[in-house]
Amino acid sequence: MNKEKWIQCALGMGLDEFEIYQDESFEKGISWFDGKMDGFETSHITGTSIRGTIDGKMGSMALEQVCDDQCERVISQLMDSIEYICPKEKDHLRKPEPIEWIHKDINWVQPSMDLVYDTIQYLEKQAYKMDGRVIQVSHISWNESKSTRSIFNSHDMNVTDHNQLQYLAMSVVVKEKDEVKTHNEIEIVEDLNLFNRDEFLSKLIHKSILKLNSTSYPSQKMKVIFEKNAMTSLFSSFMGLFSGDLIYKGISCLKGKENQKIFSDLITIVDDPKNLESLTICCFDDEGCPTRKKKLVEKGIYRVALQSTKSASRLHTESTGNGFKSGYASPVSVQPMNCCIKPGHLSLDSMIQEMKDGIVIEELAGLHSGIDFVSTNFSLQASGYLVVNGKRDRSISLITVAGNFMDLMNQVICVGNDLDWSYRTIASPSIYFKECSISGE
Amino acid sequence: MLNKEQLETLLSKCLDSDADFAEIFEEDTTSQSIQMLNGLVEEINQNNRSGIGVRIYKDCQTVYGYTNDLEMESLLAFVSSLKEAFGNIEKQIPIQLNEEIIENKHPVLIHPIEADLKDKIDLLKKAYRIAKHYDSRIFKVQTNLLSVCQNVQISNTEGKWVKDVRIRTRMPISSYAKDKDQMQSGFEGPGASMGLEYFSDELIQKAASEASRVAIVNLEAKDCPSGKMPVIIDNGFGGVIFHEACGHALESSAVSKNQSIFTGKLGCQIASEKVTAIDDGTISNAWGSSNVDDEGNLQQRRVLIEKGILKSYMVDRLNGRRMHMNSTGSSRRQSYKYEPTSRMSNTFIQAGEDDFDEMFEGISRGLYAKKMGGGSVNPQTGEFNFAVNEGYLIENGKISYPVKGATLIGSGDKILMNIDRVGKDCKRAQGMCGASSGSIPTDVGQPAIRVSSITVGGTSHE
Repeated sequence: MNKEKWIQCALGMGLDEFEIYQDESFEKGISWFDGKMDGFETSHITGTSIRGTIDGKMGSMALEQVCDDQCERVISQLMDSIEYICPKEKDHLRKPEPIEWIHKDINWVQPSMDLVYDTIQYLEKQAYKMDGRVIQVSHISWNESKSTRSIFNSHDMNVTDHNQLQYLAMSVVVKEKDEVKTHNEIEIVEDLNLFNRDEFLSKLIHKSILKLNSTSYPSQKMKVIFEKNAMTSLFSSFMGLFSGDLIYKGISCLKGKENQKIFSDLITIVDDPKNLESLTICCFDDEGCPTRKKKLVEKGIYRVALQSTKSASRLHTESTGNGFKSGYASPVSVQPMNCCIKPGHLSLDSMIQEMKDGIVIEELAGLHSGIDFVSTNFSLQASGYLVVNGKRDRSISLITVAGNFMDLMNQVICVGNDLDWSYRTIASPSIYFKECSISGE
Repeated sequence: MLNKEQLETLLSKCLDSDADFAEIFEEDTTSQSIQMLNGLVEEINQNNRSGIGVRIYKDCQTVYGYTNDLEMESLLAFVSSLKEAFGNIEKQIPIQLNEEIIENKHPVLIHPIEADLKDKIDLLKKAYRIAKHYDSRIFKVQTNLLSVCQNVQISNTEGKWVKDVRIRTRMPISSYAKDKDQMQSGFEGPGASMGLEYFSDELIQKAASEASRVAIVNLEAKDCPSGKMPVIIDNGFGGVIFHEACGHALESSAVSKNQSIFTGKLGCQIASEKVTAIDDGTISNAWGSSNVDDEGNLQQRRVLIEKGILKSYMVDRLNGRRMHMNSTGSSRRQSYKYEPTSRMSNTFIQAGEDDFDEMFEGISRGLYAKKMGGGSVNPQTGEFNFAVNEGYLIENGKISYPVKGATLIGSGDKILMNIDRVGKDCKRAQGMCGASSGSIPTDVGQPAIRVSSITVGGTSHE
């Protein structure tokens, strides 16, 4: 793509500003089932999206086949769509700003295929050996990806960064009597030579076996700890509350509540795209805006929302560098990047002892449907275990947890110290709540 | 699109290995989304996607690759690197493609991508006005118009060469209602394999009013009680219960690997004898229909369950190999970026003979789920969950008051046996289904049904 030609063509045709966003990715994945390779997947994709403005009205398009000879036709289509857009505030593309480059010291070592196969075969065989209740290794896969994203615009913006990832995923099915349970684990692996196979397997099998012999539980309100994975799921589902776009639209209940107490004073929420503890570092967002650390909630008090350039202009504030795309073809939207609930000091075990009697929720299901973002109510399928006298008792499944997220976050007794970023860009430690509705038998 | 000679060359190259079969899925897709907030156009996005997905088989093993670098030289190198997973053997098997011309069962009158932008915006404005003026408590309305035109050509080493065009449109409408400090929303999303002619005045009137009606009802709803109780699930999107609790577990991707509660149950009773369930990808202009599946096989009407007896799974080529069964034309994928697998199309419980009003008789305390939200399932354990978007408490055989925040959970095999009433008025509704081969359009449907006992998750413990 002759970017200069496209930019000149766009300006010549009457656009005030023009931007080209490109993403090139390579992926490879190997999956294994029943003693042999089940699938091998490889891909190479280049995607381009363009944006342009006329009189503060912005249009966008995404393309996979870019032909320089067709730039006039494509730009003309873009201009046609801009004519119908009616923004309440003027939109604009960003001018280049100084970016503070932070690099995470991570040395990805690409393994040989022999090592990948050897690891996968070992894991599959050992899983069956480790516990007779493992009836199937339903999935093992090794996955590698590399990508490059670049943003160019008519204000001379020219920024590029790279990303890489390698991970192993494995699921097992365990059975005892007529009860079947499944469990999966994902592990980011920098160097497969150093990967501790037995430790990974022990964790996977141990967690799956613990799910067996589960029962439902009578419906009641009770003390609850949302373990870090379940709490991360719940927190992620309500992250949109802090979106400047949804606040502007009046769909987030945080509209007009700046500097008011919204959560327990034990809750502090930080978004830091350059947090070195998290997996991915982002020094600029998908509009080329430099990213920075923000406290969204400080000791229960709502401070700032996340903003893209567009949402910021509608709310008459500045972008926080949170304008991201879900893929090159998606429009820019307001998204968190390395956002977490700040951890406390107690371990999960200590919180369980303090709770004495209650329930620990380990997994939530149905998050795409059981969350009502507008009313902030949730009602979700859950599983976990009962705590009696400060100790783990039997496993619990086929129950629901239900409540109102804003109310729940005001009933915090204690925030755990077990924040785990692993493969996430949103994370929460385990949190102990005074009360939550459980439905079951 | 690649021409016949290019496809033949690439397919032949795939077999220069230990592979026994190869397939190329090529697509050129244009999609457009127009988003309107409170009657003003917020965003218009147009995407053009084009690339190929190549799948090579050796028995039940596959390699899959996709790319949008469509230069022939690059594709030859790409295919060479793919097939290397099955070794290098210079077999040079010639491939002769024979184009099958297929009948289009989903005619379109007004092409939704090519139509004038102004006409599309007028449709959205109409929906906005109806939704907004439904009630003074409606404070915000979001309307979108999604249009897609997917051109595909599918070819394989058995000589199959099929082209198909899938045109779809959908109008998601969200209404937001506010009263004092309370906020609630309602949603309707009608869609079809049709052009803009689908959006008749009557359809827009009905969909937009319905989105606002649900938002208003929920403003007045009380917390839902919890526990086990009988539940009447109304027609239309209520069919999501069959889709999740049973449909996914009948896909051969789960069955072939013994990862479904219904593996090995063909011919067995898995549901109440009142239940006959169909997956039909041939329904003219339906949202989940297409002329051929994504392996180029003609779409079919599949009777999955007949009077409670399991009759058929939904089978794609790869899992058919594993199960020694023929494909049922059920292979689907979101785009060339996904390896296809067995998926549902338009899935519904057939109309029965029970009266709707009679279903309420004898229920001292239960739930009437008038509108369902989405759900999910673990096919291996059968455990499922669904959200209820509009619900009413049933007390002493009568609808008592609206309730909010309800979820239904249970185990797929048990719920199917607990369906004790199947009504007469079958209706379908549109949704998007997510699984390993991506997010695809599917219809769900059913008449009103009654489940004798199911766990309802709510917040009230009265």
